[in-house]
Amino acid sequence: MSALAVDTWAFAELFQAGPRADEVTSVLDEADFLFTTREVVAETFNFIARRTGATRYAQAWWDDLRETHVRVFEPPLDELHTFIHKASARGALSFTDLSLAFVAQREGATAIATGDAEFRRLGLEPLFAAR
Amino acid sequence: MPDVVSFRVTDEELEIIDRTRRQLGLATRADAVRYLVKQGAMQRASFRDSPLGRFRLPKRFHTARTWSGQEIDAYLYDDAEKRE
Repeated sequence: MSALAVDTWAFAELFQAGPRADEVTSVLDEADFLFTTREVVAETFNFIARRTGATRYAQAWWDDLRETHVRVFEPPLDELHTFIHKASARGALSFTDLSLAFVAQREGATAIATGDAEFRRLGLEPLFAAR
Repeated sequence: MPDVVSFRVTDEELEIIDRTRRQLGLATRADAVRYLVKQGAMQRASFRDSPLGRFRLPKRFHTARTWSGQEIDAYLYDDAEKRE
C-alpha cells in the first residue's frame, strides 16, 4: 500500500474499538503516505463530540491526530467545486466524501480506508466495503 | 503555499518530499516518501504505535458492531432532534 486516504468511518471504527479496528490499524500501518482532509477532521470531531456529549474527547482525538503521521489537506474550494462538477457523481457522496476523493486522486491514491461503497462511483476502492 | 494544515513534524517535511518528487520525476508524494525511507533519509512512521493508533474512547462508548457511513451521517445530522 503506498498512499491511503482515511475517512471518518475508519477513525470511528478505531476510537469506538469496533470489530474491525485491528484490520483498520494494520492497513493504516502498511501505508507509506497517510492523509485525510480538513472536512474529515471536522466531521470526525463533531461525531465524537455528539457521541460522547463531551467536546474534550473530540479535542483529545485531534491532539493525537496532530502527533501522528496523517497529513491533513485542505483542498481549495474552487478546485473542489470544479472536481465535483467534472466527477458528476451520482449516489449519496457527501461534501466530506468528495473532498477526500478529490485529494485522493490528486495524491495518486487508489484506495480509501472506509466502509462506504459509494467511493466506487469515483473509481476509488473502499477497502472495508462489501462487494 | 501547500494546502496542508497539520503535520506531525513540520512543513519542512513536505518541502523535502516535494523536492525529491520533482528531482526524481516521481508521480506521487507517496513514491517520494517510499524513496526517502529506502534511502534512510526519512524514518518510516508506525501508525500502530502513534498516539492516534492507540486512541480509544472510554469503554462505555465502545461498540460491538461497525457503524456504516450512513449511520455516522445520520447520528451527526438527522437524529440531532431525537437526541435532545
